[in-house]
Amino acid sequence: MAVTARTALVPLFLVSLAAVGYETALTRYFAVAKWSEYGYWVISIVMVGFAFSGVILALFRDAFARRGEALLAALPALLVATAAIGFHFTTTNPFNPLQLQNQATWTPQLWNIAGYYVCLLPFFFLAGVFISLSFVLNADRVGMVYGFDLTGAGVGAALVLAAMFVVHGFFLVPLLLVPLAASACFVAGRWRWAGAAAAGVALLGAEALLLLDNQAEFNDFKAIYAPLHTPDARVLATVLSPRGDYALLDDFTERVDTDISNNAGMLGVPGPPQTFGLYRDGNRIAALPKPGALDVGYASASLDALPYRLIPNANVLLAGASGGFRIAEVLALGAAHVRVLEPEPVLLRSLERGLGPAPAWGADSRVSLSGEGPVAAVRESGSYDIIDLSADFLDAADANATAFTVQALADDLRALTPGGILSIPVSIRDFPVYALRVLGTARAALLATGVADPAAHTVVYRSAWGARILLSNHPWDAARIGTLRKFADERSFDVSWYPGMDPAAARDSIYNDLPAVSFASGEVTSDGPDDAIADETRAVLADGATPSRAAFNLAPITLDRPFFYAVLRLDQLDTILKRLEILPQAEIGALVNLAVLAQAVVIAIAVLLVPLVAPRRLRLPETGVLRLIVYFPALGLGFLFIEIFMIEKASLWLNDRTSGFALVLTGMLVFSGLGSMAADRLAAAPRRAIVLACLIAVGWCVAALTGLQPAILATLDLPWIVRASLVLAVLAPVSLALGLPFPLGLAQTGSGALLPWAWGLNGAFSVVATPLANLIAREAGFSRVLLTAAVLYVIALVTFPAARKSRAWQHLSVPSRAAE
Amino acid sequence: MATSVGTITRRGVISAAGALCLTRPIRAAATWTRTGYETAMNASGRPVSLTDAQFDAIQKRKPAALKHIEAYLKERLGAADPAVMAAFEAVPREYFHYIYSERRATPGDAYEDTPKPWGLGYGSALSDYLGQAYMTQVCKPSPQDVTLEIGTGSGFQSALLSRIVKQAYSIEIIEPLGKAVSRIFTPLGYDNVHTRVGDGYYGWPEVQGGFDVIIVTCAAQYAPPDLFKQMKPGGRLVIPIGQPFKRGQVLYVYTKDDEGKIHSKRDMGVFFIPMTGAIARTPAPHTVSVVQPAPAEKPATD
Repeated sequence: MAVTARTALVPLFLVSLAAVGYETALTRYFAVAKWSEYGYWVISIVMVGFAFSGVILALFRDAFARRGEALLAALPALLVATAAIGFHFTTTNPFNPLQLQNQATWTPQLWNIAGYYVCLLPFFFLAGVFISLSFVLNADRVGMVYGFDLTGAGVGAALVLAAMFVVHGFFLVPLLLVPLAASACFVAGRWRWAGAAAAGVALLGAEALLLLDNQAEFNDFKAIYAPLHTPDARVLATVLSPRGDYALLDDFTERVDTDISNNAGMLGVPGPPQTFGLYRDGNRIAALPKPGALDVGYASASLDALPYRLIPNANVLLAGASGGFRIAEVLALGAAHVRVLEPEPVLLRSLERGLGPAPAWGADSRVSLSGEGPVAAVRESGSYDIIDLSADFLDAADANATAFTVQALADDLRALTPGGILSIPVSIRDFPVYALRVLGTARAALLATGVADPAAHTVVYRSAWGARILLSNHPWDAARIGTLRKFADERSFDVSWYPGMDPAAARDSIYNDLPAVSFASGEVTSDGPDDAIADETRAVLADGATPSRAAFNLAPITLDRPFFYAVLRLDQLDTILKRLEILPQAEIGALVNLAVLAQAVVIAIAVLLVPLVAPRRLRLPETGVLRLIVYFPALGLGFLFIEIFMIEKASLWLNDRTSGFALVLTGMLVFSGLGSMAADRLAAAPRRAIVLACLIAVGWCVAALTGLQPAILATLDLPWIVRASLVLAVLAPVSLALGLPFPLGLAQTGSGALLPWAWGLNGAFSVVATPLANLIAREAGFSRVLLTAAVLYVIALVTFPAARKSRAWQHLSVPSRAAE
Repeated sequence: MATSVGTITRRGVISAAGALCLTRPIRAAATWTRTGYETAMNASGRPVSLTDAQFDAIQKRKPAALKHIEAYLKERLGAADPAVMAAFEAVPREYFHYIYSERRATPGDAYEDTPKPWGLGYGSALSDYLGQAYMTQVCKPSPQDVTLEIGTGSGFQSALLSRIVKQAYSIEIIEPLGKAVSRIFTPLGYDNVHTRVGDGYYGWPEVQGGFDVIIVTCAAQYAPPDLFKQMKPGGRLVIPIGQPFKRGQVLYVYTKDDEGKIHSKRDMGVFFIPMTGAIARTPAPHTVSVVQPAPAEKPATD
């Protein structure tokens, strides 16, 4: 029976689909059960598996090729088995990431991490074998193979993300086993039905294991655990989505999140009422109201009440509704009109339609609700007396960090009425130095709007755990400062800065003693009551030297470097490790990233050195090896750098990281897959094709560097579907072009053992790319990442392998499918 | 149930008898023996058996751990409060090493050379003994005090305080943990520890006169305002902040001034040592003796 070319590649499509789906499902598992920064480690395990498979296939190419048909038929069953067993043991792994922060307890956790490698590598190694074997057996049409690989990956990403709306994160893997097993039915050759039968049996066993004995559950130190196990706790509603798995809880621990004065009793103000609690992936994101009238009697005693005392009957722009409570608070404090921004989709839905028994906000002529983010909202017409960022806004959604950038704060200031106030929250409970960083950002924003003396336009006041920074377009006058000081004094808040303040004199009357410490020496440097923030505010607002600037990264947060939780200076790694225990959890991601990068570099170097170990096996050409070891790595790095840049920009454009990620990942994979299918046709004139591809890539990078951000900012108010289409339209040209260099380069190397090695090299450097791009973005900004990508494609153009002229290689190639 | 396998022995019969008499108190402190440990564990619903060698190994480590605590407190706070040291001497820490979610005793972990936190299951942890000593001393407990703890956890903190103060109250919000831990104090003869499972937000309003020391180990976004109402004049409310597997926590210590206004201090003594010279100015803690548990009925002998 004749086997068509396409049928032979359908299994590859399905395996690629399932592999990417499995990887995505694992990152969801880690986000839900552990914490999401450890999802990075998973991705690196994936890539290690792929890189190893490339190396093994490179070293034993002929042996694999000879048994290729049988292997391709047998692998689906093995893949199903290793996927299921791997996931099962991943869920039973007692890894507790919290114990990594204590030197006395981290050793067993390192063994648990090793356990993840042991149970996950087999699947990814075998998937890599399948994919690179497909390349080897179809060496005459590499472009088509690469195309099926990439489009399979793209479709897999899209499918699993769509499945997340319907299936809980812990049950995605059982779903993905189906296409994995199905791939056996499309394998060409006489082993097909044996392979399909084996895959069927494996599927039954695997589904039984994962469905009947699913061990996945929350780490018992996630925020949801305790509330869920209090007497009479109930889960009232759940929402599944790629953004996260949401749960609405009714238990006695749930109350409004507010920074309320400790003197509330003295002020005759009731405490915050009981509420429902909304959790996403086990982390608490908001309090939702119980049925009945919203009780906000506590509002006047809370830290965020001051602007409303300064400006009665204000027209307010409120970022973050806190489940509706902040709206009620702001109205109770005297606002005349509130435009509410709630970009978190489930929170917005809860306001508009309710969630389970939590009621909707209800019609109110004073209030307008919108799902926009502040960056978009302030660019529209309209001006506000008060722009208020809620204290839980930053952590409610990843994309909300953009509201704290220099550009956003400057736009906010420009949208204020004369004498208007911008109110910015900072949590100082874990790390007071965040307040100094936001002050530096505020300073830059004030300067950007033409203010000459930022210190005159800023006040800072705080409780024990939270600070508020108030900026105004007019200097703070004596009357307002008097109101501020009285407000704080009544509530046991402290004023850390007002224009003309003497921090030394203020020490005598501090309510919330916040001693200064030296991160470097590990000593408390205060001698008596102190306000560590007040000590350094004047210097930060004047851009002068100050101890925290030496110890921490206080660079302003910008759209190019929109990382809020990035105060650690990675060039002081030894100090950081000494103080590991004092670090807030949000900062740990950067350290995990470094660990992954170190591992990735080691693997990549190992793959690079393979030809030195076994040069005869690879049958290296006499010349041109140097080109190869630069060309393929450059491609691996360049593609991912562009992808990571685009994910960030898409997050800004769509104001949502999850949809940005999904759209860019799927879009780039599918379009580059389509592009690479054209490579076979262009193989006749490879030099012209590669020049075209690289020029398009470099040209696109230059255009994006200069024009993309303004374009994004100008179109933020367009409907979501239009912006999503724009994202795809921007992605398409570069992705189509980027599908070409890899298959073209492979075709140039002939069909020798170099093919799997080149594939492994590309994969190994893709492993390096993600943590490296994250590092560059954190330290220098996303535009540097894109610039590096442009340079990499220039390098690729220059090192494009020369065509293999020698006929000696021809007889070593395996006959292609078409010849059978 | 971790029991020794095999024939019925006198020890086995007595252990079984102990398990049946669940509220029978055992005299502790003066002579803490392996049998005393096992009987108390049985009475608390957590049966276990140890060999003499295992028990002795734990006791051998204890003096070094106490010395370590003493040096630690001296370094960080200027001097080690004798009441705190006496409490650590009196309270057998191995009794509190128990993984409730697995119903498994882990006494062999007690008094480890490198102090570390231990997971107990149900999202709770037994903090390392240095951090606990620090927090106990920061609370400044004295014999007439009445203390309240929100977040019983292992019960070790309340047990320590109960050796120093008059009455110790403790509330646990996690039901399975709270129910299990509520049974462990009586077998030791600690009759001044009172526990309940439920919402600690309003404190323990039935206790007249309020509390001298309040510890809140499960705080959310703010210190519950109602707890300040239950703070006696001169009292302290202590909130440890941070995930439980670090080496100790940052403590926020709240006090009330004469006007009734609340003051707070961020105490980072677990992570940051005082500058040289600063310690000399810290007043030394006052000397008090440890409360002995009420004499029990005649205990079972081996």
